[in-house]
This record gives sequence, structure tokens and C-alpha cells, in this order.
Amino acid sequence: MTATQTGITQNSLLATILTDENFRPGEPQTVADTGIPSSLIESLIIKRLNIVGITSGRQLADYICLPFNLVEPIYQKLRSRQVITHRGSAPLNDYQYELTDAGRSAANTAMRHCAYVGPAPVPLIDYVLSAEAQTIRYESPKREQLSAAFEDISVEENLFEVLGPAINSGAGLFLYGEPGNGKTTLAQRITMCFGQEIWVPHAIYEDGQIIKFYDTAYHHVAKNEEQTILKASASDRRWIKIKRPTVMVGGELTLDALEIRHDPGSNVSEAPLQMKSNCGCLLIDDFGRQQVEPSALLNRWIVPLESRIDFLTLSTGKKIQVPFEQLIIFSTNLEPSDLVDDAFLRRIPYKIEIGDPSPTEFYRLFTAAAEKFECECPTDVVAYLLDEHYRKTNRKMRRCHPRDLLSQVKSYCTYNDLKMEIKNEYLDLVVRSYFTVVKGMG
Amino acid sequence: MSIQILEPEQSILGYVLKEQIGSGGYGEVWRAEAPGGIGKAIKFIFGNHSDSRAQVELKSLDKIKQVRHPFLLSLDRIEVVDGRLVIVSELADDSLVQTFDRYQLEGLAGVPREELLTYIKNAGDALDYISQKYNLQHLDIKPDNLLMAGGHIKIADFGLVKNIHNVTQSLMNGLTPTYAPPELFDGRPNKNSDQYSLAIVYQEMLTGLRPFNGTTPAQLAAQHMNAQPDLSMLSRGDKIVLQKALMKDPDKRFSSCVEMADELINRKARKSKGRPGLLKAAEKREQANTNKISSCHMGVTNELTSDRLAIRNVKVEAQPAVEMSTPVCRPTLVVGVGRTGTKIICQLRSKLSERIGRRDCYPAIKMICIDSDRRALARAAGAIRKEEAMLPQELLEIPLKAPQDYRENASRFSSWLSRRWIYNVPRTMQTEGLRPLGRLAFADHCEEVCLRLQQILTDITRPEAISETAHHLEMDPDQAPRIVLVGAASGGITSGCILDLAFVARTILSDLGVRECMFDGILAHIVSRQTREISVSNTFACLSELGHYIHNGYPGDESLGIPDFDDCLPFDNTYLYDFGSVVTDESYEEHAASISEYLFQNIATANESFFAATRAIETESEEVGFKSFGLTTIGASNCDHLIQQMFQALISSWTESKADNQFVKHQVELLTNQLFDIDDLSKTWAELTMVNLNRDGVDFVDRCLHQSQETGRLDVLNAVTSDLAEFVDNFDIHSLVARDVSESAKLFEENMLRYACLCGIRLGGTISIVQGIQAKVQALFEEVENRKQEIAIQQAAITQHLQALASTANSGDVEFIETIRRFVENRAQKCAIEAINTFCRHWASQLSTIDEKLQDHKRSVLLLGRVLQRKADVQDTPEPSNDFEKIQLQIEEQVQALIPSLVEEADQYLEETIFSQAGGFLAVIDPDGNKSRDLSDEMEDQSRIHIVNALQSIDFNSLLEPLLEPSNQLLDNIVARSNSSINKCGGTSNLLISFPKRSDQQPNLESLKQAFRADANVTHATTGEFLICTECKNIPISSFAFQLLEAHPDCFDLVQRIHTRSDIEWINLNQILS
Repeated sequence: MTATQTGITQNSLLATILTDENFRPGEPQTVADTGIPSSLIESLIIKRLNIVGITSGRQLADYICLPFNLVEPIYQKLRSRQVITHRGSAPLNDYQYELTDAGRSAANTAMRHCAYVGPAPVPLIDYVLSAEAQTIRYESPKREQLSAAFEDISVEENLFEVLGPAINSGAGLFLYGEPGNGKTTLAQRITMCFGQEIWVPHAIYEDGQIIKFYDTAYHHVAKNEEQTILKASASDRRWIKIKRPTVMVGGELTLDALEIRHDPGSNVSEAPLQMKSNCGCLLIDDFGRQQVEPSALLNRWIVPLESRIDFLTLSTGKKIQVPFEQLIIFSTNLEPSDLVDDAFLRRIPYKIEIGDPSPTEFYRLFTAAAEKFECECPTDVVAYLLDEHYRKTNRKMRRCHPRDLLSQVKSYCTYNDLKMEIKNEYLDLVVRSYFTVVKGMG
Repeated sequence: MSIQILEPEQSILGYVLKEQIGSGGYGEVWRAEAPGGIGKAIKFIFGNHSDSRAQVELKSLDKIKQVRHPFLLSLDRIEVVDGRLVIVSELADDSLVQTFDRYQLEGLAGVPREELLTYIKNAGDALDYISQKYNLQHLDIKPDNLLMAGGHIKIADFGLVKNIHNVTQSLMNGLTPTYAPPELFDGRPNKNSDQYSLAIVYQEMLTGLRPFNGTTPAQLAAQHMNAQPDLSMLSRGDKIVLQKALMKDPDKRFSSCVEMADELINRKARKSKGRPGLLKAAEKREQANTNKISSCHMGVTNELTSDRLAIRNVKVEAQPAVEMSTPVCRPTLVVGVGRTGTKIICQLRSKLSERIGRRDCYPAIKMICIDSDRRALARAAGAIRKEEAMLPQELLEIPLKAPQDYRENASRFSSWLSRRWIYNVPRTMQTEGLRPLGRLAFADHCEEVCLRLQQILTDITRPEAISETAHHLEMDPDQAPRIVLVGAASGGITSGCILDLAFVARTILSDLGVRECMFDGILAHIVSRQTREISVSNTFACLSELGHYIHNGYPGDESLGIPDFDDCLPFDNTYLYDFGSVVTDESYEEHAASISEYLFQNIATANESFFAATRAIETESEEVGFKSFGLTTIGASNCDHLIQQMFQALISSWTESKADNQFVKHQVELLTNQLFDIDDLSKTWAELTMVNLNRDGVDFVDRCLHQSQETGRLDVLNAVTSDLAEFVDNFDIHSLVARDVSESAKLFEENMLRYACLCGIRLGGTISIVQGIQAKVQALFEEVENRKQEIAIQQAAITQHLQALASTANSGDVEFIETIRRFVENRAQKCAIEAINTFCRHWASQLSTIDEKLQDHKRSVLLLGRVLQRKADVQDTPEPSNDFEKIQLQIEEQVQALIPSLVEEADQYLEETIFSQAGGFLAVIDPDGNKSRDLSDEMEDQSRIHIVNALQSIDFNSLLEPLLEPSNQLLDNIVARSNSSINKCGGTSNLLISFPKRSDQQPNLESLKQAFRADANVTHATTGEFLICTECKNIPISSFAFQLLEAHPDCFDLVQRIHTRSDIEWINLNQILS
């Protein structure tokens, strides 16, 4: 009996403790640890070899995101079954592998059965645990977090009072108001209130089905800022660390995007949107403009909103339970009461109006935008703008206007080789092209 | 006019000078006491008051003396005393410079931004006031002139205050060009000049670097006038603001200092781009860094230096010998937690069984091992000797489960366990050194633990159990139970649950109605290279939690059903044992052995009185102190080795040949004489032949002669010959011989078997006898050959003679008849010799059969011998590498010399107890019978007992004499080894030296005292070793903790995060360290 412990888990544990993460998947040591059957790993290996021809053992292990010493015995097994063979040696006690004829036919069969070739999936139960561990419900963002999250956009003071509790509740949230006032921006910032990054798997495995999860459209990899000690620590590469996701969908949303989409040809499934946005925010933009009826959408979510569990059906017909741990935000230009009736409105407890900015705020926005463009922002010019082009024409102010106008000014100056400055003349020019001069619009 | 030297306690203007707080080119500043004890500052300007410097000052003061503002240092008096200008003003607490220096010493870059901005705003406020209201500029804004009182700025030193509209004088006197705006070099101060200086002050105080870093006034002037400021270390927002404030053209600056300050303040709210989470992390890290560095630097910070250094390397005070009372035997429960605890318990168990006896001899002493690692417990259960194996009721498993199993009942743990731990249970289901998981495992199985503890505690507190144990250990009984918890505080499970375990045990005991009880805790600290950070952090966290409980009491835990204990510590005696900085497998074993030996001495020997006495000494300090101990034993290093040897010696005493043994020789002699004398034999057989030949009493020869009266001699001869031949053919002497031999052989065999059972003879002797006889038989063979030859020669001679006689007709008949007779006799002898031949052959075969049987028995005995060998590898003792081991070797040799006599005794004992009752030695060793197994166990026991006894009678005194020479290095070695491992943290110590129980030697106390440089308590209580033990107490927690931290400062971060319970506000570590 020795007094020492395994050093392998040591580093990753230290990493877990030091980084205050709620969840950190440790590197699996044995096939049993991975939670997926060995046959699945074998099929991934031969499918990959089928595609890429020859590769070294380590590269292959990297591709399927499993540790090399876990996969090596599997290579040997496949070799002894004459499915793969050595083709040469590779550095660090490794070999180049290639498929034999038998292997090729096995690979083709495997491809026909399931065309997924990529990082090894994780078992569903691990994903469920990870979602629970990293849920937003236990992070209660307070005023400081909110102000920090919203610091670079302009938010009215009293909005904090309403937004804060809404975010804390973790329930659904309606944001409505005129277009161009920053609803989408606000919704994006809301995720930032929760801070931290989370771990998500590349793919999930359940009952023989592989469900692709990681989606570069919505999941942004967290920048690696940690020290070298953590790099050396081994975490499970089947998981990837991303910033908390904000999934935005607009008018293109259909109901089947909210179910597991199964491609019968390749026998690979894709996780639905709300699963991808777990532990983050799901923003339904342009709510009411979708092809689907708003009530149908809300119907879909009544049960999950209450019980925090969503039931999805696999292609095999098996029903699985996944957590429903995100903040749903409905953003619309229309009035909520026009869209859905009271019963549904009751289910979405928070309805927040984002109104037009006040002149002071407008001015501040202008100044901020001016700073971004690194030029001075004289108050008189802004006053002139407000006067001339807003008050006189009865145009409504929107939060996006300052930035948009200034960027047009910038382009104008660049084109004309002028120093970037905000002058009345420039603004006049720009306004004409920016706002459609149609009577009665505003 | 004379210049007065200023000294403390001088009185000037009614103020009593106290101490100088500053001085410079201008003069001196003193702190003084106004009438009534109010503090004031007094500034003395050098030189005569009519000198230019003083005049300048006076002029400035003229302007400023009408100004009142909270952020301006208010002036009380301006006077000329003894020709010197004296200014009395209010007393400030601090200056910005000093604050800045303090932050720098702590390792920060400068004053934190928020704080600094408040100061800047204060200053700006004042400056704007005097500028706007009075058109005055200070013109000497620098950090030294920004004093602080009550957390706010007080601007001081108005020596250069100017009205900007009335510039009459050169400004270069006394000007510090570092902070001066360019317009000043032109002689044209502006209303924004102070702003410029303030901006430079801001940067310097924030980052420690100035925007213009020239060293000479000329350089600085040039830089201020022409060069761009270096603002690279500022954030983007700050940069923009300062760029404006440091414009060469004063009109381009901000319109007021306050505006500048506001800009700086607002920038923070808008400009930072980092995400809040990250910010938090960065702040936290900075905070942690601050803590870490500040605690590391605690040894260096001015205020605390002397205290800290005093804690390091404090020598241990040796105490005089204590008065010991009669040793008592208590009901004891030893709980081993975790891997280390289990190991120690197993060693303790084997020591108890070795030295005291079987389990049922001491029912009031029980042990239990608690661990979350199934495999470690299983290993403990299967020890080599069945006596030493742990029973199932002595093992308690508290395994961890997978996260899935916990989350359903998460509410049970959520009150005290942070969620992340539940989701981070390692796949191996071991605690892997994580304390919170240790507590989780304990909490999960708390009921089981309670139940088991309750069972055992009820069991050991029975009066019958106590009295029986006391009787067996030959000590007085005592009712108050003692509980000892052992474990490695650097491991996950012990560190996580041992404190709660102690309170659980207390609760159970109070439920059982036991009033008095003693709780001891032994916390080991083991650091190995791979697990360094976690081990150190675990120990530190455990100690800090212990410290918390000591200061604030134990709050109980409702979810586990533990009540709170307000004024009760977890342990009455807490022992810390450091395994050292480098832990290898051997040193681990050694240290574990020390701890188990310590426990043994405490529980089961008369040395208990020593330990009780040291514990009873009242301590003077209020702080709860730790204890520690160090222990060395000098005895046979490898007792097992000796026991093996004795066992083998016993075996060989039974089987080795004993040809020299008297008894054997005697027997051989006897038998030879009885049975194998050739003359006897030939006489006997020859007579027998003759008797048979002379049938019917008629002499054969006569008969023959009678028969052949008339015939010639030749015929007679022929007749005789043929008759003889006929006779010989028919006379079956051989079967007679065979029968005779087999009868004798049977008898012989019986005798041999009987001898085999005799003590001292056994198989060895018997086989020797048989072999001796065999040798004799062999000799007989040879003799027979010789005789045969002789007889043949005789026969030939006689035959020749006879034939000669027969052919001559006229020799006397008498001679003829004589010769015939002789012929017949010869023939008879020939028969006899052949019979003897057969005799010998038969005997030889019988003997070899008997020998075979005996050899068989011998083999079974040897088989028995191998049983013990199988159980333990006999290694060659390596050459002694140091003096210490030489002593051990000497002791071994001494004991080895005693083995033969021990063997005899053991044999005797076995004879009396086993053999005689089981029907003899041979019956017992029969491998088919089941008595042989018992025999081997008994043999082992006996060997053990005898060796242990022998060890006790070793003359330690003679061995130690050379040791106790003061120059002997070995002594230092021994003393070092027996010293507590935590011997640099202070405390007091007591020394115990113990000799074996049976030895009646009186040690040389004087030389001992000199050798160990302390008064020792000497006892005779051990079971065969010479024991030296140091027990230390009153070690302050802070010393050990501080040492730990000093050696491993990077573990500070870790400690904060691995507290077991999140529902307790754990006291700040700094509080422990102070």
C-alpha cells in the first residue's frame, strides 16, 4: 500500500477546484468510463479511416476525442480481427493505420447504418447531469451583474428594476416595443448576466441513436485564458467549453426545429433548439411573424416551462427526458395581447416594454458612438439633428439611429477623404439616404 | 539669533512637542499637544523669519489664511518664535504618499482606483474652490502635500500659493518641477495649473509611474514643455482624460479639477469591455492574490515581523519528570479513518495479538476501520495470520455513489454541500483527496456509522468486559472510556469527516449515559510529491476548521442529527504527526508503525500512567494547544525472523541425526551385542544344525559308520557326504532364520517407534539408531564372507585329508572317524554361516523397511516446517548500515544464542500439552490426521512466546553503555528519531524511557539523563523492546499552520475552496495565523 494517489486525476481535480466551475468533465480512463459501448468507438474508428485513408493512432484518437491510451487496446483488437492494419510507424510509439478489405466493407456497412463520423458522443445521463449542474437557476444575478452586462449598451434606469427580477425568475419573458430599440441586443446581453462558461458535448448517445449537439452557429468557444497548469490537466475532450449560449431564431422558426430532427438517410439526429440553448437563453425574435401560429409555439412550451423537463422522442420511438433550463425571451414588435390570449400571457409572467429613447439618452448614445468612431461629438450638432430631423419631421427616435447615422457619416468622410467629423452638413446628407422620405412614415 | 535645537517635550507657545514627523529643505514638522491634549502639527521654517524663504511663506500664508474648506488643512496659528517662523495647523493622520507606500509593500501597483478617485475628487474640490473663489492656485500639488485625515484629503503646504493675477515674483524657488505645468516655467500660472499637477499625481498614485520621468529639473522642464506624456499604463478611458488634463495649453484642459475627476469616475462605468463574470474572476483572483501575498509577506510587513519570526523555530521546552500513578486500563475504541488510519489499526491489531494474545482476552479494547475505499478495507481484512485479520464487524465501508444517485436526494445535502461537489464525484467513486466529498460520504452513511459505533461502545463499556481486560493486562480497571480517532488530515476522507465523527461519538456516549470520557485525535500529515497541493491544503483546511470550532463552538448539523456543542472541543487531546517532507513507502511504513506503537503503549501497557500524567498537567496558556509525539523502539528489528529461526530449530531438533547422542550409542551397542555378535550366532546355528543332524539323539557319524561297517573307508566317506548333502537339502534352515528375524524385527520396530516418541530422541535419534544397526549388519556381512572363506579353506583341507585317509587302508580308524567328525562339524558350520548370511539379509531388508517408515515420518515433520516458511519470506538480513541497526543485530545475535535452550523448553512443553494427549508424537504429525495443523500453530505460538521472553531478558544496559557516551552520534540519531516531528513550533515536552517488563535491570539514570538532556520518566513496561518516547504539548495551532503555509504558499487559493460545509462562515485564515 502506498501513500500516494494517482496523479492523473490530481491535475484535473485541482483544475476543478481552482476554477470554481460547477461541472468539469474528467478524462475517461477506461471504456466503461466513457459510458458508450466499445462497438460504437470501433465503428467511429473504422468510419474515420474509411474517409481519411491513413492516419496515425494519435491523430485518430484526437479526432474522436478520446485519450490515446484508452483507444490503443481497441486498435489492437481491430488489428487482431484483421479489420485495420499497420501501415508504418508514427512518432511516440504509434503506428499509421489503414483499413483492410474486410475493414472497408465493415466501414461501409457502418456508414450505411449511421453516417456520423466525429467526436465520440457522451451518454445522455451525463448530459442531463451537466445541464443540471450548470443551470442558470442557481445563479441569481444581482444589480452589479446586470449593470456590468449592460454597460456597453444604453439601458434606462427603471428598466433594471423590471429586468432584474425577470432574469432572476428564470421564467419566460416578453420584450416588446418598436423596432430598432435594442431588444435583440438586450436579450443577447442578458445571457452575459449569468457569467461563466459551460461545458457541452459534441454529440449525445442514447439507445443506439447519436444526437449531434454542438452547433457552431450558436455555441461560441470560450477563449482559453487559463494558465498552463490547467492546459496540462486532462479534461474530457468530448466536451467543449463554450460561452453560455444565446440561441436566436427569427421568422424562420418552425415547430419541428423544436423536436429532435432525424435524418433517416444518415441515421443521425440533431438536437432541437431548446436543447442547444440549455443553460443559456433562447430568444424568439420577431415573435408573431413565424409561419407557426404563436399559440402553437406557446403550447409546445407550456409543460416544459412549468416542470423544467422537456420530453423528446427519438427516431426509435423512445421518449427521453431532457432538462429545460433556459431563459426564454420572446421579442416582438407587435402587442403581446394581439398575439396570444390571456391564458398564455399568464404563463409568460414578465412583459417588458422597450420604449424609445429620451433625448438625453439619445445624446449619450451619440456620444458613445462618436467615441467609437474616435471623433468629437459637439452638443450643438446633436441638438441640430434632433431639432431638424426629428422634431420637425415628427420622426421617432430609435436607439439604433446614432450608430447607423454615424457609420454613414464615416463612410461618407472616408469616401471623400475628409477627416471624420460630425457636422450638420454631413448629417443632413446622411439623413436623407437613411430615412425613407415618405410622408407619414417615422 | 541663536537657532534652537528642537527636542521632544519642549514647550513652545504652550504646545508640548512630541515627535518629529517630517523634515525637509524648508524646515521641520513636529507633532505636538495643545493644552488639553489635542494633537496639532507645528511647522518650523528654517532660517530667520526675515529671510526670503520665510517671507515667501508668509506671503503665501497671507493669501490662504482667510480660506476655509474641509479639504484644506486648517491653520491655527502663525507666529514668529525666537526669530523663527512657526506655523501651527491641524494634525493629519496620514499622507497620500504613505498610503501609496503601504499598498506598494503589499504588492499592489498603487492605490486602488476607486479609493484614489475619491481622493482626487476631494483635492479637486478644494482646488476648484480656492481657484474660483479666490483666484488662487496652490502650485505645489504633489503627493507629499496631500495629507489625509478621516479618509479624506487635506491639502497642505501652501508655501507657493499664488494669486494668478498678481504674479510678482519668480516662481522657481522651491518648485518641484516634477509636477509643474509648462506655463509655470514661463512664469504664467493659469487657473488650470493645479489640474495639471493633480493629473500627474493621479497617474503616479495609480500605477507608480509618472508621465514624465525626467530626473533633473532641466530634463523635467523640457519634458513638461515639449514632450508628450507617457500614459501607456493607463486604461483607454483614463488615457483620454489625462491627455486632456495634461495639455500644454492650459485652456484646452478641463474647465475644473472636479470635472476631470468626474470624467475619470464616469469612464469606469462605461469603458471597461470585460464580461462581468470575468471581471469577477479577475477581481477574485486579485483578491486572492492580495490575500496570498499579504499572508506570505506577513513575515516581512513591518508591524508583524517580530511576532512572526518569533513563532518560527521555537525550541521545545523540556519538562521535568512527571509523577506517575498506577496505570489503569480503560474500555477503548480506536477508530481508523481512511487508508492511513486503516493501516495503523491493522498494525495495532497485530501488535496486540503478538504481545497480549487472542481477541477474547481483552474484550474492552475494540477497533474499527472506516473508509470509502472498498479495496483498501478488503486488503486489511485478509492479513497473513488469521489472528491478525480484521473481523467484518471491525470494518465499515462508507462508499461514494454516482452523481445520479445523489441528485434525487440532493435536498439532504444541499444545506451544507455546494452543488458543484455532487456533480463532480470522480468516476472512480473515491474521494481522491477532496474533503467535501469525504464529508459527503460520511453524511450519506451517517446512520450506519452511528449504529455501529453505538454497538461497539455499548459492548466495551460493560463492566465484565472491563474487568476481564484489566485482569489480562494486569492493570487496574477504570470505567471511563477512551476513544481515539486516527487518520491522515491530508487525505480526503479523514480531513472531511473526522471532526464530525468525533462529535457523533460524543453524542452517542452521552446518549448511553456515560459522563466521563476521553477523546484523542491523531491527525497525520502526509505529503507526497504527486499530491502536494491537495494534501497541504487539506491539512490546512482541517486545522482551520478545527480552529473555527475552538473559537466559535460546533454548530451541530441538523441533517445528520448532531446537536451543537458550545464549549466542547472535538478532541480533548489533538495530536499532530508530520510524516516528513519526503514520504517514501518505507518511511510511510515506519511512521505508521510508530503511531501504532504509540497507541499500543497508551492502551495496553503500564506506560499509560506516564501519558495520563503528562496530560493532566495544567497548562498556563489560554490558547488551545496541539500535542505531538515521537517514538523509537530498539528491539530486535525482525522479530519474525527470530521466530522463524526458532521454529526451524525446533523442527530440526526432531529430525536431525543424533549419532553422538549417548542414548543412541548405548542402544546400538546393546542391540549389536544382543543380536549381532557373529560368534554367538554361528555357535547357535551350528548347534542347531548338529541337533537336527543327530536325529533321535543318535550321533550322525556313528550312524553312518554303523551303516557302512563292512564297506571301505571310501564308501563310508561317500555315504557320509551323500547323507550330509541329503540332510542339507532337506534341512530348511533359512525359513527358520526368516521367522526368527521377522519376530525380532517386529520387536525392534516397536521399540523404535517408542523411542521416536521420546523427548530428545524423536525421529532423529531413532533414525540414527536404525542407521547404526544397519551399519552393524553391514559389518556382519563382511565378517560372514570372511568366515565363509575360512570354512571353505578348512573344508578343502579336511576333504583332502579325508580322501588321503580313505585311500590308504591302514591308517587308524580313529583318525579317520575324527576327521569325519571334523568334516561334519565343518559342514555344520558352513550351514550356520549360510544361515547367518540369510539372517543378515533378512535383517537388512527389515531395517530398510523400518528406515523407510521413519523417513516418511521425518518428511511429514519437515513438511510441517515448510508451513511457516510459506507464510513469510525469510530475507537475508542486510548488512547493518548504521549504528542503530548494529545494535539491532547484536540483540538478534544474543537471542539467537539462546535458541537451543529455548527449543528444549518448547519441546518439553509440547510434549506435555499436545503429544501426550494425542497419543504420541507420531500420531500428531501424521499428515492425514488434522492434528498437524493445530500443531504448527501451536509451535508458532510457542516460538513466539519464547522469543519474546528471550527478548525481554536482553541486557539493554550493557548494550546501551557504549551508546550513552556523549560523543556518540547514534545517540543523537536516536534522540532525533524519537523527537516529535513538529519540533520547531514550540511547546513543552516530556520524555519517557521504558525497559522491558521482565528485565530487572536498573538503568543508569544519570547517564541517561545526560544523554537525553532531559529528565526522563523510566518505567519497566514494554514487552520486549527498549522504548524512547517524547510527548509534546502546548504547540500553538498558528505555528504549525504558518509553517505549512510558508512552505507551500500556492495552496492558499485552494484552501478557501475546499471547506466542507458551506453553511458555516468559516473564520478567516488570517485570524488563525494571528
